[in-house]
Formats: sequence, structure tokens, C-alpha cells
Amino acid sequence: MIRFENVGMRYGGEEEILTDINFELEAGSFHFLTGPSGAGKSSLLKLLSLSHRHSRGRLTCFEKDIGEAQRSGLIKLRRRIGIVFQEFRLLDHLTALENVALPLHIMGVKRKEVQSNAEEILEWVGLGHKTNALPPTLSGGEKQRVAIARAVVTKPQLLLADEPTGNVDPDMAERIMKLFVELNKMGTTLLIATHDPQLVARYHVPILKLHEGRLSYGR
Amino acid sequence: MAAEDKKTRTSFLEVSFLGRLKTFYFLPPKEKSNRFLPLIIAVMAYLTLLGSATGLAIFNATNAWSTNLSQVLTVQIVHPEARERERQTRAVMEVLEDTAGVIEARAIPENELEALLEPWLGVGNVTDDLPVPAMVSVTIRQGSQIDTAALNARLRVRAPDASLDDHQQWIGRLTSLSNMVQVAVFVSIALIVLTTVAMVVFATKSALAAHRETVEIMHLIGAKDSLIASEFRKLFMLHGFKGGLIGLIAAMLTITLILYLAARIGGGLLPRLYLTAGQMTLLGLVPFLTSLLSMWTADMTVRHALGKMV
Repeated sequence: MIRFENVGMRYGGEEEILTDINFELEAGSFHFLTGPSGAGKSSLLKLLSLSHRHSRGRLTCFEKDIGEAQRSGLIKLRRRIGIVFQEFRLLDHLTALENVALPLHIMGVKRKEVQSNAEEILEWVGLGHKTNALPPTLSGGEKQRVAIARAVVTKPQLLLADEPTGNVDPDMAERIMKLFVELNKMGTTLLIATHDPQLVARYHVPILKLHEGRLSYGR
Repeated sequence: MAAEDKKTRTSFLEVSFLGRLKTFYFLPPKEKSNRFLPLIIAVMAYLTLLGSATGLAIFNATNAWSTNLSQVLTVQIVHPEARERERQTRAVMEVLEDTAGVIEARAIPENELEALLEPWLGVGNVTDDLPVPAMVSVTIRQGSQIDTAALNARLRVRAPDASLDDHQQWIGRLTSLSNMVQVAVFVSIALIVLTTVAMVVFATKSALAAHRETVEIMHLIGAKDSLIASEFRKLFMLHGFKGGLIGLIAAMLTITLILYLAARIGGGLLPRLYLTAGQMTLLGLVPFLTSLLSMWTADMTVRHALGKMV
């Protein structure tokens, strides 16, 4: 589903931040992405979320060569990817329900379905009672679950999560990971970026290790 | 939550995309990054309207004046002796009666001539020893091609002190003045429009910068440029309309006052300044034009900025 072949990435005229990246994510797989700060995890996630383009090599996403894809084509591909940001990135002036409904609205889903789907997903992440709450009134764990709900409400084929348990307590982290595992069992391809070795140790899934912009496999 | 916040929130929910109306807002309901833009647009609209109204009023006045003048010829008989002036006036009248294309020839009575001089000389200052020329006003048929040089020559045979004035020099000057004013007004309006566009561009960029995070999130979760731009279109359309409306109200008050004062001060000396109903309606469209201009500029600016994103 996702394939990197000798992919390199640089910002402007600077040195390559990612060098000769080679890996493949098969449909329905679950991987961790680890590495110390500055190793290039965020940059790799930017390539995967199609918010940046690679500077060399070949990147294939949903059978499309990203290097060749038009900008309009990338917009369509992005709708097949869910992203959980480390800092949640919820819109503070929208309620939890409206935040979750945003991707559905963007996709042009009918109003009634938008509401019922968004409510259902919020219920699933345990926030059925917080539909009208504004993000600033939610705890870190609640915000993270709203962010997860927003990322999965369109049933994306690929779900990317950047340090999803970084800002929550251990109990909430466990709860959030259970949600991810459940999603993966339902067929969603999952890539979780983390630098928490304990979290990685608890789940027996392949690890993509980044170090100074180069990738190696673990486990 | 404070009572005021609650009120704001409720009003936003009423128009949110999950609400009753079909409007979708992803920008905060109380968008404050460009709250002064309507006032700036109002000033621009006001200047545009004043310029347009001035140009149109001068065009109307000069047009009416030159149309009237082109149908009127004037014969002037300058002689110090009143008796000789009267003789030559009668001769002029006889020649004009035999001239094709002349509808009416009227010797202007002395009291009317004195009234015409009053604005310059004052009431009662035209004395008998002041040799006021005799005047004959000639009305010609519209479109008739009178050879004024030949007519002048014929008049000179019978009245050696008569001279025919077809006002062409005056009409030419008026037309030149009118054209110059129109060009100046057009250039001014073009500059005002360009300045407005530039200000809307800066305002849109400032709004984009203020809501960069929101725009990025929308972009990352798959929003098309048109959807993101639509939010800014709505916002700037409203700014443009508000500004245009304020400018229109202020300009209409000023224009009405100017036209009233011009009518009072001008008296018989100045041509009447006026705007037709059609022209007033055209000026009344300015709020719609400012909202369209503002909306279009914001749309282009947002799309251009989004185009730089992957």
C-alpha cells in the first residue's frame, strides 16, 4: 500500500534529513516508528501524510507514484489517510462533535450521516457525553481521543499517529493503544511514531527505527 | 463560561454546519483579524463615489450646455449709436428670416440684456451712456447644417457691425474640460480600486497568517482549495459589503449636500449640476461591487497561498 524506494528528503537547499529510505507498509499492517529526537520521524510522517514531497527516490502511496501525482490528486489521497497529531491540533472554537465531523463534511457526506457518524465515533472513544464540549475544556486524554475520533471517522485506510501517548497518563495511554489495536483488527493500516520503549515493548509488531535520517528494521 | 461567551457560542451553533442553516464556518465566529477592513473599504468607496458623482455631474452639465448651445446662434451688433444699433438689428432680423434652418430669431430686449449683466455689474448700474451691444438670439433646427461663415458674410453686407457667434469655441473648451475631468476621475477611480485590491490582499494574507493552523489542518484532512477559499470569500464579501454600504451612505449625504449648495450658489451663472435616476442607481450598486471585488481578491489570494502548499 505504501512503498518507499531510496527516498530522500530535504528542506530547501539544506542537507538531506532522510536518506535512502526503503520500506513497505502492507495493507492491514501495524508498525511502530521509533528513533531519538531529530532522527527524522516527523519528516517521515510528513511524507506519509502527503504534506511534503520527497526530494528523490520513488514513493508510492495507494498505487500512485507521489512524485508524478498532481496536487489535486494528492488532496484525494489525503482523504484516505487519518492523522493523529502529537499536539492534537483540534479547532478550539468547534465542539468535540464538530471537530470529529469536520473530515466528513469535507468529503461531502450528507448532514444527517455526518452527525450520526461523528456521534457514534465519539461514543466509541468514550466521549459520548462530551459532544458539545469545546477542546479547551477537555483534559489531555480527552483531547487525544477526540483527535483519534477525527482521524478515524472517515474509516481511513492508513492511520498515522505521532506520539499519541506522549501527553497522557499511563492509564489513558493504555486505553488509547487499545483503540488503535481495535482499529488495526478492523483492517486499518497503522503506523505509530513513538520514542517510548516501554510502549514498543508491550506490542509485538515490527519496528521502523530511524537514526540520523536512515531507516532500519527492528524486532 | 461568561454570559457573553455563552451568547456568542449559541449564535455560532445556530449557523454551524450541524445546525439548521447550510452555512459552514471553520473559522472562529468572531473573526477579528480584519475588523478595520470595512472602514478602509468604506473610505475607498466614499472616494470612488464622490469621484464618480463629480465626473457624472460635470458630464451631465457640459453635455446639456453644449447641446443647448449647438442649437443656438448669437448675433451681436456693436455700435455706440443706439439708433444705428436698432437699424442694423432690423436688417439682421430680415436676413435671418430668409435663412433656411432658422426656427426663430429674437432680438433680446434691453431689460433682458441688463438682467444678464447684473451678476457682473450689479443691479441698476447699467446706465444709458453704457453702449451695451444689441443681441439677437437665433434658434436653429436640430441637425441643420448652416454655413455660419456664409451667413456671417451675408449679415455683414446688411449690418456691417454685426458678428455671428456659433459658440463652437466655447463648446470645444467645454468638451475638452469635460473630457479632462472624466479622464482624471477614471484614473482616480482606477487607483482607488487598485489600492483597495492591494489592501484586501494584505488583509487576506493577515487572516491566513492568523488562521494558519486551521488552514493547515483543513488542508491535511483533505479539504479542497475551493472549500478553504470559500470561507475567506464569505468573510471578505461581508467586509466588502459593509464597507461599501457605509461609504455609499456617507457619499450620498455629501453628494446631496454638494448638489444642493451648487444649485444655491450657482444661480444663473453656473450650469445646473445633477445626476439622473439611472446614474444614482448605478452608484447605489457600489456596495455590491465592493463586496464582489473584496470576495474575488480574497479568493485569488487564498488560492495562490494554498497553491504553494503541497
